[in-house]
Amino acid sequence: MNWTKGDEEEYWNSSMFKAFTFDDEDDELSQLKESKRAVNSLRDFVDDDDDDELERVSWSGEPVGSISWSIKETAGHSGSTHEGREQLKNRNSFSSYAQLPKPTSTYSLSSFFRGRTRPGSFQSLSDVLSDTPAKSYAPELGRPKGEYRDYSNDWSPSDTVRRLRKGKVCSLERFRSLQDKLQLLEEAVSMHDGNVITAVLIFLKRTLSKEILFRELEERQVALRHLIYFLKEIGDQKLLIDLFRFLDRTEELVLSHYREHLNIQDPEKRKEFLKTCIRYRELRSDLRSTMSLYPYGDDFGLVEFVFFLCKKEILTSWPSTSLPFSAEDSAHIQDHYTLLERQIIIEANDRHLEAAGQTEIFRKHPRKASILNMPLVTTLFYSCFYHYGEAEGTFSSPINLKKTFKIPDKQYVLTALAARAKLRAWHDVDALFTTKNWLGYTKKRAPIGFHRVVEILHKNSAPVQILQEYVSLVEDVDTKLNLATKFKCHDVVIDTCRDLKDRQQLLGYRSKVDKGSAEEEKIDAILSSSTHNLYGAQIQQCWRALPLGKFHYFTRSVQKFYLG
Amino acid sequence: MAFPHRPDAPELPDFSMLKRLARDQLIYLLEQLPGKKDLFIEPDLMSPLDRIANVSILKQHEVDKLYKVENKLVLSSNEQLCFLVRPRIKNMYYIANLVKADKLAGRTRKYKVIFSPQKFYACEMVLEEEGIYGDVSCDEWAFSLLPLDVDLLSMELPEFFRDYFLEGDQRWINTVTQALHLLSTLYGPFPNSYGIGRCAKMSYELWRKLEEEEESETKSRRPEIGHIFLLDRDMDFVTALCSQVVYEGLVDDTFRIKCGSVDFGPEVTSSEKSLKVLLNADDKVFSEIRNEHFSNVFGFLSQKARNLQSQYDRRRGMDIKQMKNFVSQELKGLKQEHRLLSLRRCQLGMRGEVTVPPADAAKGLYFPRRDPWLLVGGGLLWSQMGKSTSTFCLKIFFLWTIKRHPSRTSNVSSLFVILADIGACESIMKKKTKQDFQELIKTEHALLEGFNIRESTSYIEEHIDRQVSPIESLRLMCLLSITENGLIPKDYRSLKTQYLQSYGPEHLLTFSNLRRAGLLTEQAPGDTLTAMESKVSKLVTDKAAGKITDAFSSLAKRSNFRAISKKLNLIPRVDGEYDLKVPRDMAYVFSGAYVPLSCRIIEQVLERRSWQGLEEVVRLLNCSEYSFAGMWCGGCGWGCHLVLVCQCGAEATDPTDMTKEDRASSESLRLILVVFLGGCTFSEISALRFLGREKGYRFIFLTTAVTNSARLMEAMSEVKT
Repeated sequence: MNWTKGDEEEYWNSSMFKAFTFDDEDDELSQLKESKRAVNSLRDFVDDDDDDELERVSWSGEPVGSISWSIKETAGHSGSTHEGREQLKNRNSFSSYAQLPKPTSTYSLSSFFRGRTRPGSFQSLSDVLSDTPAKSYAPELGRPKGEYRDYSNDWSPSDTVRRLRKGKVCSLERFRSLQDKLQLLEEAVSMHDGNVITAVLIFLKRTLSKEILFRELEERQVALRHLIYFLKEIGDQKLLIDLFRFLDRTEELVLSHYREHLNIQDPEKRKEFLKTCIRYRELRSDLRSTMSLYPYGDDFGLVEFVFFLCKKEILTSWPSTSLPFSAEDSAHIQDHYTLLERQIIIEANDRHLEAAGQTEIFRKHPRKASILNMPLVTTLFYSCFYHYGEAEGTFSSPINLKKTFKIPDKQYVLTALAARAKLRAWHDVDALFTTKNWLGYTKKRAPIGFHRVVEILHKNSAPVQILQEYVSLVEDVDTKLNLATKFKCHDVVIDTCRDLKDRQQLLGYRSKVDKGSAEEEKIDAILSSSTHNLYGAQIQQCWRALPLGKFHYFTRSVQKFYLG
Repeated sequence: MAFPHRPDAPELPDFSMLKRLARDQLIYLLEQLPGKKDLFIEPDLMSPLDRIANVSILKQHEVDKLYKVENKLVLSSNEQLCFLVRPRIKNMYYIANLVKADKLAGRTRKYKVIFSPQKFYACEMVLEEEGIYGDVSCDEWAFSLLPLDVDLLSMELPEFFRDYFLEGDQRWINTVTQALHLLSTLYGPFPNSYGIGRCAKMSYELWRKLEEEEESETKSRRPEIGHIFLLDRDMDFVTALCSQVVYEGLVDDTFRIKCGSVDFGPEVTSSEKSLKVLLNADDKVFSEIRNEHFSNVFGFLSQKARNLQSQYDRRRGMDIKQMKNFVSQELKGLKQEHRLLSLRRCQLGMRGEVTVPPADAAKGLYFPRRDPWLLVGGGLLWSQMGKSTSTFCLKIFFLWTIKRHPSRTSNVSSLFVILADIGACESIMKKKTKQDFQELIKTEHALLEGFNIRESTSYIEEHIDRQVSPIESLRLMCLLSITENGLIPKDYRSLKTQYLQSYGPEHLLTFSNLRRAGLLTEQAPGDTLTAMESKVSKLVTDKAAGKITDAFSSLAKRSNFRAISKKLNLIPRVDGEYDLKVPRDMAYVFSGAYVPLSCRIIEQVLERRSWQGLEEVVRLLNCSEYSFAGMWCGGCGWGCHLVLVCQCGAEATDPTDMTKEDRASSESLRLILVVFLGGCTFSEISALRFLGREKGYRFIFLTTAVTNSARLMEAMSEVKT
């Protein structure tokens, strides 16, 4: 949009002018609004009588909708018609205000610029933009209004909601009967503005007993969602749990209880708290001590929480360890507890070991961080790193972890491999994949596929000899060749090419190996020995057509071009 | 590259006015607290603030020191404190603690809280409860629209997504309607409205109400923007969850574009310092590559550099007059560039961080006053010779050029942008090859097309087992779930268990969130719902069927992606290679494998000017009640908005007062405002820009925030990383 300079200036002037006129308090403004509304509703009378009026004229004789009219409308004081008439006299002074010369200095525009103290502060823009301001301000007039009433104190639910929506302070105290309150809530919900819905809910929460509030909200899902989120935000866990309990939302109840553990920093306390999420029996015998851990003080204790669970008969299936919601999630929380319990033991033990400085592994590889609150896989990695050889009986041994948490084979091998490779303990790596069958023969087997093994080894900068061994175990030939090329396992590439009788590839590869190296010799040997090879015959002919040197150069440049 | 718009494509309105409005309002608010004051800024507001004001403006209005609103208390000695915050409960507690501490110490100060974009009653309640209600004064800074680019307006409200789509809180709807109202006030009414989604419908209704209440003058204005389209993010999660391969999207995925600018780290700039680059249409090179498929970009940059090199070579033969011409042309650009540069310097200064303006970014380098392209060319030559654009190479190059041509001027910052672009390309390439990007994309495409589901599942499994980024794994799981209408219970269990083991048990909460938002669900045992649903819908009228579908969907929110995809032909049939250099359709933003669902819906509706013929799609989207198309009635002078087609075009009635010509003229307006509620991705923006070029439209994007898959997942994540 292109604004001419004049437009712009007029815009700013007009906003200044507005600021000038309305340099009063918000409250007063809202009162002004009332009178306008009163007049508006009066307008409806006129409308009813006369549908096709030509020009709407207010009592002061000005066309309805002109700027000065609207200013006076908003400047009016009270809502009653009688007072409205009185106001008219005062309004004249306003129109003279409006005709005051506009300030000419545009130095500090902003000092005149009014913030959004009244709805639609940007109206001022449109004032200017429209060519015919006289025709404005109509839509509100066109709105059908209910019967005329005194607005000065009693706001109807819809007016109250509208005021709230505009961000005005508005007392809700007059909505005392349940019916009024619910009407107000429904009006708010129908407006879709979440802020207003929450405002009404805050009021309802304060003025209704929770049983009534919950009961009514149960049928009003939109409002209910707002209340739940509001309670979450202000951290009213007690009411939230009451609410979930009322609604029978066991899963959300437990999860919201479980969520609290994130706020507990101390690992011991956290562990104890997690225990409250899973163990009912111990909880009961140990109630007093766990109560002190419960973060919501004494008034709402775990006792209530537990009794609720009992009452809901959730606990009939829960006397041992299971949780009141899906068995699966309860198992996860159980695992969480067990894991943290383990970590606390391991951490205490290892910190001691590290401080003592007697254990080689800790001296060589000091721990970078505590293992507390780490995921299971990280814990497994840690124990594979520091406690690999330990007997199954110890808490920190990898095998023990694997058994306790039923870690799948794949996952275990992957993690152990990463840990041992990092330590460059190639023997362990070897042992990880070696299986003995009943005849005593050994065989290499990897549940994750040897191509992954190779990648992990390479990432941990394993020496070529080790890499080579595993690359050659990759089953898929193409993958094998790719990996071997990528990781410069020359022997594997050469052998594979030989097995494939792929002379061309071998030739190409020749340029990659160092000049005069053993590999080059090997390639040359293969190339020359296989001259009579049937498979290679055709390729060989092509090759012979080119002088060796040129071909060599060619492959090199091609390679450089494509492979960088 | 950078296809021009059709000659009949309309001009975009000038949105810079929005910035000025916001700035002036802020200044006004600051002046409400005369005298010296310290300003506490919410971290999330800093970048948007950077885009409209700078430190010197704040200083001019007696802002003394700037602080971040953080968890730790700051000791400020000023007598007046001003807080510029988002309306969040935790900010209120922060302020309350500060005020209470002052009270304890017997200190009296003036406090002012400015809420942006609006204040919430819940916040005031907290202030009241904490006993500081009268001690602080509250104000609102209605800064809800930030023009990030010529055609992109962002509300910078990433929390919209979680608040609405997870928690079901409608607090931002009013903000959206206020923004729409502002736009219609400034740029004229929008004659045609369409929308889909529950939130879209609500926003639309509230907005109409607002327009009726506010005696706005819009109706007497000639409309500029012909159509407005509101769309809920949950209509199309799939597109948002895909890896982006369009350049701008890819940069966003890799480096995170924040508020229209990106921080290139040392790995891109090849120096220790990071470089902040503004990415928008002002940057000529960027605007040419932003919408391109990534595979084209690097080649394009090299080509560009080579062209310029030859241009430069030609220039060497210029005589004095030509030289003068050239310099004056160059200077014109330079002025602009210089302004940008100083602006940037201010912005950077404002952040209070140690980032340096681009001019100093490569410290130790003397800037040659020369054609930057030559330098870029040099850099590229180096990179083509197999070396990366390392500082060292450039240094030599700079020195060499300075020696030879000390007198010429140059566009320093554009040089850096290009260098950064090239660096970004290289860095992306490195990352993407490292991450087996190809394999990832392959899996995604398989998921979109619905084949090899087992293979994809085990791919995801492996991702999780290897502890590849938690967000990435989550994203793939969600993609699998949505495209497959939920995971098979067995898969769901095993993936969930492995996920919790790999990334931490507390993600249990994340899974619960994802299920509530319908992003990651478990298939209901037996697929009885579908059969029943379709039977029922055949029997009863559309309206009732919609209700029934909704009832079902609340039980198990079905995404029906496969059916929708078939209906809307989202997976283009490709014979042979899809030429990404000459895109045929919007699918190019996903390498030709998938047309973004959201964009396809918009395209279809715009084509028909209604939802007619799309009833089935709407039903599959579970939106029978929430799709609408309306027409603003210009003739009657009341600015009333007649909802023409609701319930899938069943009840189309003509507005009486609207003449045929009026309708025709309003429909012929080719400027279209697309409102994404819950965020949109750069891929979607690129796709629609492409559509615009094809059809002679211009799209304007209004989004609650620019998003991508990672942001969506993080919003759902309970564990803050």
